[in-house]
Amino acid sequence: MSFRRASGHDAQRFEHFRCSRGAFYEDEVEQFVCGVALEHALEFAGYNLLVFLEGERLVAVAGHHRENLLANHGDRTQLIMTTRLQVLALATEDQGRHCSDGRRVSALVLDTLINDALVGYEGDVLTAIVARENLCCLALLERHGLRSQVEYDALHVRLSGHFKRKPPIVK
Amino acid sequence: MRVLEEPFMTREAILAVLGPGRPASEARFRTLRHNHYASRGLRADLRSPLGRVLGQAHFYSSLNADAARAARFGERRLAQGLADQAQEIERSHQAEVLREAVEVCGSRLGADPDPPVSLQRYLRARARASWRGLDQHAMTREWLIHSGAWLSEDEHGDLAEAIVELARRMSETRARLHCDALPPVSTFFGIVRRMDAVAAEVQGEAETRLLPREDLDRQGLAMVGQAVTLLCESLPAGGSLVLALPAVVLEAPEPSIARSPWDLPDGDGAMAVSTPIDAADQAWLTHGLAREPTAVPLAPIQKA
Repeated sequence: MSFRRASGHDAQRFEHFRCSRGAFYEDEVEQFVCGVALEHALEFAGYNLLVFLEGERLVAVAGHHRENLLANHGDRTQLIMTTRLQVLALATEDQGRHCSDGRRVSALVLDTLINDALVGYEGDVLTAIVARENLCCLALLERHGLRSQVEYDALHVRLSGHFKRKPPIVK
Repeated sequence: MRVLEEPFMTREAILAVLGPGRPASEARFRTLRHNHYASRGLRADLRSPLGRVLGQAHFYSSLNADAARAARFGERRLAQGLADQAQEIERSHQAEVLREAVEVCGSRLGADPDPPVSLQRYLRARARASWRGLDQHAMTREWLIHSGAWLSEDEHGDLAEAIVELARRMSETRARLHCDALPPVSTFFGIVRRMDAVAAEVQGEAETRLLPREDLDRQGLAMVGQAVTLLCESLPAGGSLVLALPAVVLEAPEPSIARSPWDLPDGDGAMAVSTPIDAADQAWLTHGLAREPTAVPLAPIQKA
């Protein structure tokens, strides 16, 4: 499997991509990916959309962008600069699939997404907004370090975590 | 926000109050019953739509927790008085209404191949934190007793009305029997607002309390938005006990209107979205940043 930035040539792949098995939060993701994700990524450089391919087949789509969280303390505003893991969609046939090394495809894609989101930063705060009912995704993100949860709206929570790149091994 | 105690609890929850930290056993509950420190309880028969018996759920008025605590402190008459009142409550019309709701919900479970999300979450959380985690049927019966299992089916408000009435009767009984004469005990109701790997923040009407996340995990309550009751007690030899139990939320405040999670950044270059957040959320996030960051391994998938 390999990944790259999404390009205009992927339009047909996006159109036929299916990642929902019927839950409302999966429908939300599928509508977003098949609808506006590619168009937006091509239009705005600040939005990074990645495609994960096995040969010509689209296995997963993932995206991230910078986000400033602003907290108002009356006379002053505090800013926390973060990167939002905005979408992670795995094709229905790859959900729960393991690779030859025993790792789940979802874990590999998320690790790669986290790495890509940290490009250019030694360390950073990553956030993600997840439906409260999406138990698998909540567990996956928690296992990968997004362990802090706060309410976002009636249906979603915001997860966040503080990440740091491992220093390269010097031989 | 209106958070009330659950009208019923399991045998295990009563035994957790009787002997904090000690494993629940049938023998200990039999001793409680033998000494009239616990009520008889209620039984819900769970049947599939075709009438097949799926099992039984036993549950007890939450006043039994007070009776168990009184028994622990050696207040025998008080414990017996509370257990008698618990039995009265279990015989009430309101208790019968709720028992039926448990039966209907339990029977529906037998017919539905996909268990509800709240049950899945409960089973996951308890499977990691409870010695009974492997017994999914027992865990499911416990979940059925929580109002979260059946309150969403309350179309006419009958169940909410019954819960309010039972809560009123329980607090009236506590006041009448002078339960406040026991060593310092307090009950805190609130909603889990924030959570990380270590701690959870529970927001009540007047204050906010922190507790170890593990305490919520063990009870299957580690979820943002979950209503909880915290039974807090100062122990005679020092230290304190906080037991987290589920609670009923009847009038939940709507979270402040956030932008859709699907809104994307616009503009050009590497422009970032600016999102206003609550000052309390910011404080929680900042606390998290003080902890050791997670080390990121190298990307496992090659870039094409």
